[in-house]
Formats: sequence, structure tokens, C-alpha cells
Amino acid sequence: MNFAYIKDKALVVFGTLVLSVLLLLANGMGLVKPVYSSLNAVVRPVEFWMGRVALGIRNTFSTITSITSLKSQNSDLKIEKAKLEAQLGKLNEIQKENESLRTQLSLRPSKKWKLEMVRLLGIDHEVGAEHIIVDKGENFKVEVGDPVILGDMLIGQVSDVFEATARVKLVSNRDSNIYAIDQNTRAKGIIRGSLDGVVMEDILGNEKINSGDTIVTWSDKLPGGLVIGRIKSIDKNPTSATQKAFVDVGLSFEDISYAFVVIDR
Amino acid sequence: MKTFLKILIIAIVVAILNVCFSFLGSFNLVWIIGLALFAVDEENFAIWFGFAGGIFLDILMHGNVGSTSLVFGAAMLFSVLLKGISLGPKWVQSVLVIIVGSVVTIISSYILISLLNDVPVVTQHLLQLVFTRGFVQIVLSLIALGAISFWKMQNPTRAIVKI
Repeated sequence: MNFAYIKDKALVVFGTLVLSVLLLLANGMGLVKPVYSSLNAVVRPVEFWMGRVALGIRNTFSTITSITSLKSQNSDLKIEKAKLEAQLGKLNEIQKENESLRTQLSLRPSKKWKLEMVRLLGIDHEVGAEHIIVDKGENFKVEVGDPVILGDMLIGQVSDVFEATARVKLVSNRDSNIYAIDQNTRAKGIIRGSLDGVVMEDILGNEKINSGDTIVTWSDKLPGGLVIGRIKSIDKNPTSATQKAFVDVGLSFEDISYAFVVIDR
Repeated sequence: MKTFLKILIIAIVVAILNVCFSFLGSFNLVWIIGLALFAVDEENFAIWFGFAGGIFLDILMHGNVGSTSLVFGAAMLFSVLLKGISLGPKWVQSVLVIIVGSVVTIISSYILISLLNDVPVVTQHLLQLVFTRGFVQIVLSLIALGAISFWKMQNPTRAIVKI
């Protein structure tokens, strides 16, 4: 065993570990935010154009490997399908509202929100902390908590805002915690991410939920009636007072290149 | 000063590439290249590149500045121990550094994120991650190791960045 080597290198590594911990603490105290804003603003154009190149590479490879269809068409169709599902969900929601359930359930009618189109700069796949990075921030009055949508479908909520960029916490994030409701049965629960996909938890055991039902937002923090997805399976444990449902959001975040931030609602 | 700038420039370029190529899938280029550099005996460069690259990547993508560097540092500690113990021929050591380093990064990253987000660590999820994301990282790191080794064979007297 080479003790001299271990001692020499371990000291350098230990130094970087101590610096990393100090940076994490500084980050927790908000001391690093000016660096976030300035660096993100500087590299944003490079990220944007390199991102287009990356998407081009992906589409080229997909086209080569695809036997039956072109990947790009597939992506567009997926977005179109998700939009149509969201529209259908929205129409159903309006119908429900007309049946006077709206008042009881505090679902607000669809408004002409002020939207800001944002382009995706990157996707943070970190398990449990899924985010997307978008190309607008304080410079376009984007604020923490603003919903990010595509059509009437909820993608996530803004979690950090910098000068020219923002981070959006996706619905699939473990910490998303979105109050949601089954559009057909009105069963309520909380949406968050898991390694098994997006899950609606804390649904009371005696409430009815069905596969295929549309799940929409139901919250005072978010506009009501935004479509989250459809129930694909139900996990009912007889020993538990609650049940959970796995939700298909119907949209792969790799397939979208733009979205809309609701900056005034 | 020149070396310091070189490391910073390489680190920021790799971090930007990582953000842009996130559309292609889930991988961490800083960890992949850092581990490959360590495996080909560019230890000091690997350690400082991993530290700087991790900070840039956190600023541009992950948030929580310091977390990526901290995780890479943990992997480096294990890698230093492995190299110090000197198990078998050099290529075995290199492959071991890649495998052990990748597994350590995946595990410590999952635990750190769980701690930072105040969510429980689920062993089943952790194992699933090691076998999926860990496998991808090992394969990509081995490819990087091959590429850097080839470059070093072509340029035997030149260091990538001399520290």
C-alpha cells in the first residue's frame, strides 16, 4: 500500500470537500445568487444554440435508428396529443363548472392569463429534483411560484428566478406537492414525483378513483383546472387509510422545446 | 495562473455542454470526464476539474452550488484509496476506479439530494438507480477513458493540463 500517495492526494481531495461544504452553506444563505444570475445571463445564448445543436443530433440519431416513423414527427404528435388531451380535459372541466360544482370546489374559470413564452435551455434529470431551465427570468417579470404550462397542461412551477433565466420544478419532482383532484369522481390528493413516475398520494381510502380519469389542479396557489395527466394505475392497500394513483402526464419533457409561464393570473 | 485559467475554461465548457446535451439523456459529463482523467493518472487535474466543473454545473443547472463537487470529492476519496492499495495491473485499477467512482457518485448524489430536499432515502430506488444510471455512467466513463488513453498514447510527453 502506497501511504505517501494516499496522504498526498487525499489532502487535496479533502480540501475540495471542505470548499464544497462551505459553498453549500453559502448557497443556503443566498450568498451565491448574484453569481447564478450573472453566469446564467452570460452563457444563456451559448446554451440556447448548443441546445438546438443537441436536439438536432438527437433527432438525427433517432431518425437513423427509427424504422417505422420519424422521431421528430412523433415528438410533434406527442405534443399535439397532450394538447388535445389537455383541451378535452379543460372542456370537461368547464362543463363541470357549469354544473355549479365550481363554487364548492374553488375551481376558477379559465381566464385570459398574461403568458410569457419561454424556451428550454436544459433539463436537470437529477432523480427526485427534476427541473427544466428556461431562458427568461427577472427581466420578464417571472416570479417564484409562477405556473408553467403548455396549452392547458401544467408542466411545473418556477422555483428559482435569476436575471435572465429561471428554474422550473417539474410535476415529476419529488417535492412538487401539487393539490389535485380527479375530474370525474372529485377525489382529492397530492401530486408529486417518485422513481416510479408521477403519483397522486393521500387520496382517502373510501374515495373512488378510476384508471383513465383526468387529474387537474385544485389549489389556492395555482389556477384550478390545469390538466396534470391521466390515471394509469391505482395502488390500493387494504391496511392503509389512503390510496395512491400513478399518473401518466402524457408528455415527455425531452420532447418540448418551449412552454409558457403564467406571469399574471 | 495560466493553469488555473485553463482548468476554469475547460470546466465551464464541459458544464455548458452538459446543460445543452441534457436533451439527449441523463448523464453528468463532469463526473464522467473527471473519473476518466483520474483513471489515466491525471489525478490533480481530475480533482480540480471535478471541483470547478461541479460548481459551474450547479450554477447552470442543478442549483445547490457545491453538491456536485461534494459528490465528486467523495468518489475521489474512494478512488485515491483504490489506487493507493494498488490492486493488480494498471488497466484493472483504471476500470476499478471508474466502476467504484461511478457507484459512489450515484449513491452519494441520491443521498445528498434526499437530505437537501428533506425526503426519505428509499433503498429500492437507490439500487434501481445504481443499475440504470450507474451503468450508463460507467459505460460513458470507459469510453472517455479509452479516448483520453488514446490521446496520451499519441502525445506521451504532453500533460493535458500540467499541475
